Amino acid sequence: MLLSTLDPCNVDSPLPHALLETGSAGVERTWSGPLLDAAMLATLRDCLGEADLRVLMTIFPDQVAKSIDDLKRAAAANDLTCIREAAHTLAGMSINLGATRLADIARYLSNDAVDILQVSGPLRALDTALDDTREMIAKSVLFRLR
Amino acid sequence: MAKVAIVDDVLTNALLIKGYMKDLPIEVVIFTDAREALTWCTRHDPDLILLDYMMPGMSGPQFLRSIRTDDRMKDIPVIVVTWDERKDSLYQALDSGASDYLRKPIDRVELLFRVQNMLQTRARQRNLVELLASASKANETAPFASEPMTAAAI
Repeated sequence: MLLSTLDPCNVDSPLPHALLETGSAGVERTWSGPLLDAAMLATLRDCLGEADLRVLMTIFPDQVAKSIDDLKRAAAANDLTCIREAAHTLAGMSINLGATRLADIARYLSNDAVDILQVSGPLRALDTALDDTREMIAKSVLFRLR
Repeated sequence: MAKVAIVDDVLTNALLIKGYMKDLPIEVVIFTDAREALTWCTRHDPDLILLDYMMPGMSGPQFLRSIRTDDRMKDIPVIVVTWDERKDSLYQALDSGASDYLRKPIDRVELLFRVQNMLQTRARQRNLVELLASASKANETAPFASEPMTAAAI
């Protein structure tokens, strides 16, 4: 119903936040890739050693959080170009460390989201995926029993 | 010792590449700011740059154009690093002056081969420049020699 109030010709008028939420609900999708790719993690451990891997995995969640903040700012400004750029950065860092679910969502935002209405669902999914990935990093790397 | 600059606004990406290269006899310098990297490169003439293709502030193509249009840096090999699978990105990177291209997730073995190949090429290039400079100097000091000395003659 809210969508019908939007003038599609008026591209300058920012979308109200509630409308974004409503609009995205229709294209909500689920992301079920692994939080951390086990094979990639094993390769990283093998190539870098446990100490360097811990350093990387300690920094990584904070960098992801910063990237998600950049995405949210760009979404609030209805700036799809900035969303794509921030998502590209997030995808790159996530792919490198085998954070598959974060990478999948970011890749979608970078390559496939063609409308601002398609952004808020994946953004919420990113928040959840970050929390879950952080927990997985703690279990698999930081507090791993040796 | 060869100097390698890693330019990536994401610290974990840069640290990962540095970690993968830890057994190479090279000096690695990391930059998370492309402009700072550019300034450093003009002063330190690195043997290789590993460049993230999409950075805020200064994009990969902009960085490459700055390198390739500056006489002090135009011959430095640059390997572009990106996860983008699209051919357009590859073509754009190569067209902007990238010497090579590496995809994320970075494969350590592939990275090491590409880096070593580039460093060997760079070393040969530097040798050639030195030989040409020596030849040029020899020609200057022996102006009446019957045959001008060239790098090939050396």
